[in-house]
Amino acid sequence: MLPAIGYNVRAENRKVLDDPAINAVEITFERADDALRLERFIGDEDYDYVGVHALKLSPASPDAPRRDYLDALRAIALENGAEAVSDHLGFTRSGNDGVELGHFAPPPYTQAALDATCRNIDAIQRHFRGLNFYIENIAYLFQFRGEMSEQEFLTRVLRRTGCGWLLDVTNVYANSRNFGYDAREFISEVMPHAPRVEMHLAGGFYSERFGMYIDSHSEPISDDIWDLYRFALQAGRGKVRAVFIERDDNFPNEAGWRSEIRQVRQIAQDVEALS
Amino acid sequence: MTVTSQADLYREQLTRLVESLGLGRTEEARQDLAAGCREQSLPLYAGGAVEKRRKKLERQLEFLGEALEDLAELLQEYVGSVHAPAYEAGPDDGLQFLDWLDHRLLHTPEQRDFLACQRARLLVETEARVHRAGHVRFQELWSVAGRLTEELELNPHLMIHLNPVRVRSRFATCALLEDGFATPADVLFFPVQRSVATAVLEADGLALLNELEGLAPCTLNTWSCVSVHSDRDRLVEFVRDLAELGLIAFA
Repeated sequence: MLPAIGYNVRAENRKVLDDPAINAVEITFERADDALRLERFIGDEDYDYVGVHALKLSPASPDAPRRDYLDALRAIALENGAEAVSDHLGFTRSGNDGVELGHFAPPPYTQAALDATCRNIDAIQRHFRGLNFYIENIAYLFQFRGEMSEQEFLTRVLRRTGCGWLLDVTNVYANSRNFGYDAREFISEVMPHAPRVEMHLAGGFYSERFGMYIDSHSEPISDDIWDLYRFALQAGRGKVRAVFIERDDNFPNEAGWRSEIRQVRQIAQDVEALS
Repeated sequence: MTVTSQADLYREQLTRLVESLGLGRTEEARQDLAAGCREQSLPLYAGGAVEKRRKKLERQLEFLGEALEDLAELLQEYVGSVHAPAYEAGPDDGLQFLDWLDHRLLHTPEQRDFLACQRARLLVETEARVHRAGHVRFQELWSVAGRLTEELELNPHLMIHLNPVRVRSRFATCALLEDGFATPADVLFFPVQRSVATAVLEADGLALLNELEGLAPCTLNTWSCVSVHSDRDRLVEFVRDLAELGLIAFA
């Protein structure tokens, strides 16, 4: 089964969405949630697969997401013909009466965090009946003290909730470099527990100043990440529904946009041919 | 004796982490870090999040830079001392910043007009979000208003619809007004397609608008029958003007 392939949509890549390699799009909810926008975010085009990617569900918060936020997310999804919604395995706020952090942080991998996360994902999935929900593994610069590894935490979330896994290949790569674990082993261990998978690909850079790989979404995808992507497709054969490239800065020219998405498709076709 | 559950402890932990890191402060979070994490990882993360927030506000409130020379410093102080509200979206943080400014500084009358204008623009976005279905429907109707205006006096069934998203403000000075308008001036902010438009209403216009707010949607005949402020000819002129501006549409 060949996954649907496309970009996380933004103004800079709309011009290449007609590329024959693209049959899917991902919408970042906060970008689409423009009060003065009148038309569908993805315009009049139809795609084989549309996903909506959120930033503020904060699944690892103590409270389930507020209903009005869920309703707004669902409205955008339905308006654009989406079949999936996703967000990050982390937290952006302390609770519904609390304040915002501004960018998601990894939860402490504890039983309490696991229980809160699963409870919230159950609530999210109940609200999004008919839409598949995917949880994304995030890139983190630090970890909080916990009782289990990220791998075990994620596996238990997937098994308890039955939600899909948005495997951000670049995030696994970044974390494996920064925290010294085997990226392929991580993917191999978690994949069997994911009933369905979406994927993200992006390009980052190694910061000499901070001694860390930064998942900046600002660079072409490197050979290491292409290789890991190929491995992930093989590991997830039969369950990968869609693959999206994320690019948020330092944008390529039109040829660059097109060549990168075509490589995503080519690798997927190569893996499919071997199966 | 109260037994604190694991869930309560988790809530306390996250509250402490969010409230410190959300303002770029890392000391309180250090005790929670796993062994082996790099010293600079927390400041890198927290600083990045705060800077992202500041840049968003800077883009959103660029207009205020014309009246506040120290806007950059004020934004820096704000993001380091006031948390972003939960579920912050669109104009929420910008509106909170304006509230913070109101309580902090004395402004000249001209600066107050700039703040009022900025607030009104952000409130239009908030209202359009809350009343999205009505907002989208009105804009669809308005897209053909030019053609239907010609039927205003010919079609007794033509319904007059008022733009459901309207924010009123008042300018004390001429700083943001074109020549010829008296102050204080009542100003209406409203969305027209993807933009925010404004209209200055003088006393008679304001009275007619107030009257229409209580009746719309309605026909011209209905309005002219009940209007206490104007005759039919004046109502026709008023409706045409407001349709051209984007405050009225027809169906």
